[in-house]
Amino acid sequence: MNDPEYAGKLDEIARIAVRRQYYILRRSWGIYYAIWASGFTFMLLASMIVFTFVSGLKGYLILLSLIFFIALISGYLSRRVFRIAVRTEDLRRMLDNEYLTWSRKYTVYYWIIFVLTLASAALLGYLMPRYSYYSAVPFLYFISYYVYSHLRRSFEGIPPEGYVSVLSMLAFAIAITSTMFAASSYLRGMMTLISLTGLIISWFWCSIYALYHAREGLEIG
Amino acid sequence: MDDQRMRPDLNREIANLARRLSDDAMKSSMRLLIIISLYLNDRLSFSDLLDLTGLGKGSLANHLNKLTEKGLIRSGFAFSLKGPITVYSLTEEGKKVYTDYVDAIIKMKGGKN
Repeated sequence: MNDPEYAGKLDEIARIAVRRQYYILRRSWGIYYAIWASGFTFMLLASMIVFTFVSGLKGYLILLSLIFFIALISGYLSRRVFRIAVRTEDLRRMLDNEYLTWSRKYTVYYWIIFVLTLASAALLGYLMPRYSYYSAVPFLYFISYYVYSHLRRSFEGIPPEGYVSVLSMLAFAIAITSTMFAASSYLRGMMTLISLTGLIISWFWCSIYALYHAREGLEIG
Repeated sequence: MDDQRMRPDLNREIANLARRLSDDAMKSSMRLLIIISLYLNDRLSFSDLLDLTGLGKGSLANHLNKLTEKGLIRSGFAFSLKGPITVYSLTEEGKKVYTDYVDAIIKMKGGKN
C-alpha cells in the first residue's frame, strides 16, 4: 500500500472513531448534568437543614463545609467527561492538522480567564469583607466558561441541552451577583433559592434530554 | 516542515505501524477502531463497544479475544445501575499502539501538529 492510500485508511478509521464518540460524549454529559443537579439539590437541602438547627457564623461554616464536600464529590464523580472531551478534541484537531495552533489558543484563553476570576474573587473579598462568600461568585462565571469550552471540545455542533446548561449557569451567576445589591437578607435568600431551584430543574432536564438523545450519535457515524 | 528531513522519520513510522497492523491481532480496521475508542474513553463496556463498532456479539467477542491474547487490552468488572458489567481498557502495550498510530498520522499529514 502506498503512502497516501495508507494515510487515507488510517485517517478514515480515526474519523469514524471520532464521529462515534458523539454517542459516548453526549451520554457522559447527560450523567455529568445529573450528578451536578443532584449535587445542587443536596446543597439546597443542606442549607435548609443547617439553618433550621444552627444559626449565625457557626451555621455558615457548617454550610460552607458541606457545600465544599458536595462539590468535591460531584467533581470527582463527573471528572471523566472532561478527560474524554479533551482526548476526542485532541484527536479531531490532529486529523484536521491544526492541533498546535488550537492547543496554544485554548491554553492562553483558559489562563487569562482563570487569572481574571482569581483577581475578581480577591477584589470582592477586599471590597465586601462582611460578605466574603461573594468571592465565590466569579467562579460561577468561570464554571460557565469551563463547561462551554469543554462542550466545544466535545462536539462539532453543541447540542441544545449544552446551550441550556451554560445559559442556566450564567443566569444563576447573574442572579447571585444581583443579590449583592439586594436591600434585605430575606430578599437575598429568596433570590438565591429561586435561581438555584431554576438551575437544578434545567440541569435535570439537560440530563434527561442528553441521555434520551445520545443514541442519535450512532446514526451519524 | 522540511519534507526531505521528515521522510525517513515518516517511513520509519509507517514501517512500525504497518508491522503492528499486519500482526494478526491488528490486521482488522475494526480492532484499530476498538483501540482508538478505548484510548479516548479509558474504559468501555461490552455493550458500549457493540454500539460503537456496530458489530454482532460473536464478532466483537472474537476481536476482543484476539486483542486480549496479544496483550493489548484487558478486561475487568465494574458496577453499574444494571449490576456488575465487564469493562475493557488498554494495557501499556495497547496505549503504545495508539501512540504509534497518532505519530504516524501526524507525520503523514506533514508534521504540522
